[in-house]
Amino acid sequence: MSAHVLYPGCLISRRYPGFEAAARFVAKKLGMELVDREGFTCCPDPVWLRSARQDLWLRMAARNLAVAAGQNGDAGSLVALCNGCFETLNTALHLLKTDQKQREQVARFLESQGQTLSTCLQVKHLVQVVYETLGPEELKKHLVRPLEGLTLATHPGCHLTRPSDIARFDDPLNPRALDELVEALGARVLDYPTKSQCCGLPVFVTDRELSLSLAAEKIRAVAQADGLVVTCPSCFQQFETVQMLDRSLPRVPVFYYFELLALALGADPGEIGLDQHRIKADAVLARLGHAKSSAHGVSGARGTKPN
Amino acid sequence: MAVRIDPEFRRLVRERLRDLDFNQCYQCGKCAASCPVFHRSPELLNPRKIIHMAAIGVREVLTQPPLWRCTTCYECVEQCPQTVNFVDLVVALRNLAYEMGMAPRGVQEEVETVLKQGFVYPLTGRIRQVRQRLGLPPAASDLEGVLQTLREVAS
Ligand code: SF4
Ligand code: SF4
Repeated sequence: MSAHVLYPGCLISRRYPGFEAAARFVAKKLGMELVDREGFTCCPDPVWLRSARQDLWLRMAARNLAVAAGQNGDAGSLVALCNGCFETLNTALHLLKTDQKQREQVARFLESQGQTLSTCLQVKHLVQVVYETLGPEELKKHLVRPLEGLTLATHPGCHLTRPSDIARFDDPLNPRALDELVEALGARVLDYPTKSQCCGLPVFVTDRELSLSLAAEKIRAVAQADGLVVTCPSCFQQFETVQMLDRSLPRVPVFYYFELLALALGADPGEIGLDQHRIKADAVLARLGHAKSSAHGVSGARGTKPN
Repeated sequence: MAVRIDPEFRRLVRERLRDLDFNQCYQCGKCAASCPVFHRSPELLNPRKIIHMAAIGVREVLTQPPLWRCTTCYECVEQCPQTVNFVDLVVALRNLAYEMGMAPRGVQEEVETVLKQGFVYPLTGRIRQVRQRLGLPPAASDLEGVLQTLREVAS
């Protein structure tokens, strides 16, 4: 497989570094080269930074694309680990390609930074890369420790597949790719009607009650599952937060997809930071034959601040 | 709720949002039917109503809570028969509100945070320690130069 530039994102690199470790572990095991670049900022946030100052949002995103393209502008693709980064970088790329006025303004800004506007690379989510370049059937051949006996629910998250004209991945209203990738690991997938519905995290800033009620509705819908699988650290944060705040909810451990894939590829839970979860996954890990993960834990605050 | 039409605001919306295709909206309400927030309660957010308020020039659309309750989930955008991009409209209206100093405090704070450190989330000592234990490269880099320019653009 060809080289991809890794965009780690600020929520993952600064709050969920275990997800980054899991993604790097997976890439290594699957023979995918991830190239690091120095100097990225926040993608930035597709909801509130864009909602406040679209001009700043586009400049920062364009600068990240330029950093990714590198000196020779020869990068093939920029790989995001988060639905939000995927959306921002992809939407910005689309705007820079289609809106001449904004492209000229942004190009001038980049020149003032000694950089060149680059729109030739592709933006991909790592889930998309795995799905499109390997696919579920091929993935199965790499597993050393399948997740047999587990029933998992999936939450693909809005911005993995929407807006569909920009994401260009999976069915935006009835997403299936993540289900197939989870099934490939040996788990059973629980179907539920609100699978494509939003986790509610974006409006945590402006209407906390609404935000949490959207998340709670989803947790109740998947109460029968052993875990809820996400592809985005913001959704992960939201689903853990609502369970921390509302003790009446059923307990459903939340997993970032690449944590599970890393486990199935032979990772040790401690090596990918699974002990950092606020909703403990120990029961699920025990069923997979892993000893209690907290032995590797780092004590101290676990970032209970929900946003 | 009494609806007050403000011709000046209507002109402003037409001018600033002229690249958006919301005039294609024929008020069918399919967006509302697909909206998870509308489903919790129609009072919380009705995208069809927001489009109408913006189109006829009701200034309160900027300050009333519904505009700030859209999660940008794009369910409505996928289903609109007229290919109206409601999220683009929300973003443009929120930018207008921000410019007029009418955005909620939390939104203003996020912009300040990003312009200060380049990221929404700080890099704490604990996270540096976890990154090291997991064998990850350091997450910090010197961004002061670009942040300085962005602050100038912002002001
Ligand atoms: S679905 Fe489209 S055309 Fe129908 S009311 Fe909503 S925005 Fe207007
Ligand atoms: S994008 Fe906003 S208005 Fe449209 S369905 Fe989602 S929450 Fe509702």
